[in-house]
This record gives sequence, C-alpha cells and structure tokens, in this order.
Amino acid sequence: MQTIKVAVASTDGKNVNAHFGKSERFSIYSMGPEMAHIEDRPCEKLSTGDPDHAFDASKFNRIAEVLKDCQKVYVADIGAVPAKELTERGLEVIRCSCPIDQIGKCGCNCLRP
Amino acid sequence: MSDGVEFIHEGLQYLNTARNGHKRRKVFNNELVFNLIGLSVEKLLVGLCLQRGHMPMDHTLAGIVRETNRLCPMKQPLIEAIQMMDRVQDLCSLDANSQCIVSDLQIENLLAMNEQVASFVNQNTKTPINDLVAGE
Repeated sequence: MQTIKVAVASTDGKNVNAHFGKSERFSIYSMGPEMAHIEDRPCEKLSTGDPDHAFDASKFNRIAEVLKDCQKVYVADIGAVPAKELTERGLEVIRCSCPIDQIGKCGCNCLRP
Repeated sequence: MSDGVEFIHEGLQYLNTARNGHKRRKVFNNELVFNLIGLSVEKLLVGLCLQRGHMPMDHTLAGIVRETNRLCPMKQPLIEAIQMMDRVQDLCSLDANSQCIVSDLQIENLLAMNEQVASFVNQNTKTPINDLVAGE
C-alpha cells in the first residue's frame, strides 16, 4: 500500500468527528498500512455559525493552503461548496465517522479510491 | 446525472458500519454511530431522488426528506423518525467546542429508523438493494 499524507478533522485527536467548516485545526497523518500521526495544523474556522453565511473564498484559500500537501481529507461533514473547491484542487474529500485508527478498516467509505 | 445507485450503495455501507459499530461500543462511541446514521440516511434518500431524476437542492436532512416525499410519498411516522435526527443534531452540531451526547436508546431508535429508510428505498428504487449488495 502506497503511503500518502491525509488530513483529518477531529475534535479529540481520536475520531473523525468534526465538520470541515468548524475545524480550527487538522490532524495530519501518514497513511500507509497503518495511520501515523505527523502533526496538528491550526487554521481559521470557515464557518461563522450562521448556516446561511456566504462562502468566504479568501478564508477558504488559507485553509486549503494548510492542506495543500495532503491527498485526502477526512471529515464528519462538509458543505457542498468547500467540498467542490477542495476536489477541484485535487484533494479527495471523504465523509466518514470512525476512529482515526479504523480508517480503511471500518467498512464505511473511508478507503474509497 | 448519476442514476443514484452509487449513493444508495454508499448509504448501505454507512448503515452497515453503524450497525457493526454499535456492537463495538469500545471502538465506536454513540457520536460516531449517530454521524454514520446521518450519512446513511442522506445518501439513501439522495440516491432515491437521483433515480427519479432529481438532485435535492436543500442539503439539510429535513430538506432532503421534504424533496424525497414529493417524489415518493413517505409515511408520516417515518418522516417524524427521520426528523428526530435533527432534534438530536441540535446536541451534536459537530462544533469543535461541543460534545455530542446521544443515549443508547436514541441510537437504537435511530438505527431502527435507518433500517426503515433502507427498506423504503428498497421498495421504491429501480435497482433493488439486494442486487446492489450481491453485486459488491
């Protein structure tokens, strides 16, 4: 299995349980046969708390910069616009809900090609 | 436009993981299972809508249910059971500063609802779920 770098939205460092737009940090992992934690990277929170808020492109670009060397991002949820924008930047967005060490083993879509 | 089969397939995978996860409570807490149920219901209903040639524009669960109900009328108890997700969701905003607290009983009720949604989709889909599972 090829080793790649992935980002995980997590509130506790154990589970994929955070919304992309509400994350203030992403945990970066090396993903090969096992998940190995590399570092946590802080970022701005995209969400303003108002579900109808406009998409803030400049803020989003700064978050995307934080994730630019990752190939996948695992989130519990994400808005349609940021998901599309990340995908267009070549980052695969995967919505899942499982312990980080179970990614690829839990049976949901988290190892989707 | 996708014919929805991929969405339905993913919805079934999420349901299966939620089922199995609920049996592995030391690994999957209720918050994770709750989120899996939400993903499953969303994928199943969007897949059904796509099979009817319609992409739901409202991405909230309540909105997807409303749009699904227009295409394939759903029984009121099932609609209300799905709407229970939103009530619990108020406690589980996926906010970095909030902790999701869902009881075991709520999870069991929501899993039962998820099974009903899968059954409803199976009854109304052009590709029966059994064929999807067999085709894995």
